[in-house]
Amino acid sequence: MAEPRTATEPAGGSAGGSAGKSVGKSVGTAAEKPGARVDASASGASTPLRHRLAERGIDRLLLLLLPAVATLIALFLYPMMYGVGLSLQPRSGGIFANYVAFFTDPYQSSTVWKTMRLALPAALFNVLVSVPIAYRLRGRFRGKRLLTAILVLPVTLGTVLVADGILRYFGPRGWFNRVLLELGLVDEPVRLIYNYWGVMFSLIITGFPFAFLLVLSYMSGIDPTLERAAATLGAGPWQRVRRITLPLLAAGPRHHVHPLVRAGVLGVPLGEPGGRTRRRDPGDGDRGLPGGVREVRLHDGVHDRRADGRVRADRDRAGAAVARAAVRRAHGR
Amino acid sequence: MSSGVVESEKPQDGFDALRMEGVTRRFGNAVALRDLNLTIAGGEFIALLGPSGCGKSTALNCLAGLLPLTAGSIWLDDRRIDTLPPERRGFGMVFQNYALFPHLSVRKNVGFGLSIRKVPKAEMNRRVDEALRLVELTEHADKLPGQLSGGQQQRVAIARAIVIRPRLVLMDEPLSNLDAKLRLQMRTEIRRLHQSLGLTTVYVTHDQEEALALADRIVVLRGGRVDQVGTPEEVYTDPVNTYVAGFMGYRNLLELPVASRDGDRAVLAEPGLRLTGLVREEFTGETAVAAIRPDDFRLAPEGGGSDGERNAVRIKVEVVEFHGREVAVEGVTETGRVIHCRLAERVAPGDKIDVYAPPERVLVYRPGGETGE
Repeated sequence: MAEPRTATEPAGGSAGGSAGKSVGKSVGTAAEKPGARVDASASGASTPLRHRLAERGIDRLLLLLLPAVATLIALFLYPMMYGVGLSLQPRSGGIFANYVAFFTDPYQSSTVWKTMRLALPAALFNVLVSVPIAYRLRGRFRGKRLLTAILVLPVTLGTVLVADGILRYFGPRGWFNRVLLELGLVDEPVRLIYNYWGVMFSLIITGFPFAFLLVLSYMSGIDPTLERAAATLGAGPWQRVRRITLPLLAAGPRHHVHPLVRAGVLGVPLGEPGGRTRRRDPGDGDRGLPGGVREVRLHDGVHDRRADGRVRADRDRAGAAVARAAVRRAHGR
Repeated sequence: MSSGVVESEKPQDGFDALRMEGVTRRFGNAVALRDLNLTIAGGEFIALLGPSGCGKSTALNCLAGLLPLTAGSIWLDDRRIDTLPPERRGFGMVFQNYALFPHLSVRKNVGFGLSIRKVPKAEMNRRVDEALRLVELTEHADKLPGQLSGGQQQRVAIARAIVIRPRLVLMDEPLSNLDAKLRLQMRTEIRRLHQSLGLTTVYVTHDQEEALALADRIVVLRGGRVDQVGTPEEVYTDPVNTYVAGFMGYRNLLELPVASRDGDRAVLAEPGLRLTGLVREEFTGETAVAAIRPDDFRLAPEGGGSDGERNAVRIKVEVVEFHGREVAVEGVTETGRVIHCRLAERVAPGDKIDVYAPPERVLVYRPGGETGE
């Protein structure tokens, strides 16, 4: 049984130098399984191993994946698994002690709740606003690229920049309030920063491009002929949207992830994603926090520069922390 | 919803005539359709024929209301309809890519137009069942379009268009995505439905065989203009210019010096080639085009029979294709002109043969008319 393989191996390897060799190696493990097939086909010896593998989509081109796979493992998979591993090694208690602590701690659950109260409306808002815009933008027309670029521009803005911009624009003496005052719509400046709304605005601004791009890609995937067909069948504009476009928009990504969920997930990371995971208190047993990552990230911008205690003081207005940090920095300078 | 929907809910009787008057459509500076005048009688099957870019799909979309007109008007008897949106015209349309709603079952696809019209459930079910039976898809009613073959999807598209009992059925190259065998089958099917349901159909195609087989009248379009309107017989036997002739299978379009002219007969000649034909289009220059269909050529009797002499062409056979009863022959004359003919006799490459075409099958046109290539 081993013989046919060794007989074909040199034939495959001789042509391809080192690349061929490593393919042969990676394939060696794959070839263990179909060993029976090699045995079963009497003429197996005459089919070069490389051909049989190529038929199953294994060839030297796969080597091009190596750098990407290595990067993913080194920078993403390993750290993540390491974190999961840490979370399962509490200083005391059973293997899930950290998780039990997390879910029973009212502080944590209030954190999660606060995060949801911010993330879900922001995601919902972004998707709801994206749908009509994407609907209009899906065709081809002049200036489409420019318009799309403008809508997607917030992606390029750093968190601090957005925070600073919000502080200036929505602040008590910012344009927004000045306009409201001038128009006589309000008697005193509306408080829109250092609170829920400030964070909400920044979430919407940074999350919108992601939601928009996703919705646009789904929308572009819907054949425009379908609406034309619906029109010839008697459906008016609103009926076409309601009965064809929206169901397809909802059905399209069902096989992957719902756009709402995605937009939410993408829309939330606000701090520096690489920031250190916050500990509650040094030495109280938590070595890493499972879940609650969103909330943690909200704090990160602060954590990098401020002492833990300050963050704790801010925790009731967790969302405002990012904006506040930016402002402190600006004043401190 | 709107009053138009209510109106199209009324049983849609036929109409006497649908008139397109000076229908023009521009895209920027490009004129896709120029001054189309056409009257379609109720119950007629009209084919719009031409190569891609000739304006046939534009014309169909203008009829459907999917494209606004740049100029002109469309009238259904005495009612002007070109200002109505598509949903208020009550026309059924079959799209080239079928345009079935992928998220709806076959039954719901077919029933879509009826549910928009708020047809009562019982009647809707009855009519959908009937339409599905007509296109023989009853057992696939609960499948999604993605689970059907191309031919089945096509039949769903047709059922969906006819179940609303449209005044007019518009078909945009409905067979072009099917394989050859299925295309023939569906072609017959479409004609059968047209006849049995008493539909009025406008059918867009680039395939002259399809147009000839299906239509009561053919409209040949070129560059946004109508070249010829006529019955298949007229367009086939008597094309108005070399473009239509080329489209109708006159593969031999030979531009030759004019030797003599006598009434509607003209003699075109060059060394080794002398053709007498019927003048179909006035010409004034020194040359004219002789159009001959490959199957109008016959093998001249050995030594040159008296009948074949006048229109005989000597060719050297270069390529022979087997077509069952006949062979398709490509040969060259001694002056290097390529001649296509279909012969019952078996010939071989390298043979030198004389072929002739009866003078009444040789049509003479003004040169310079594009060949449609």
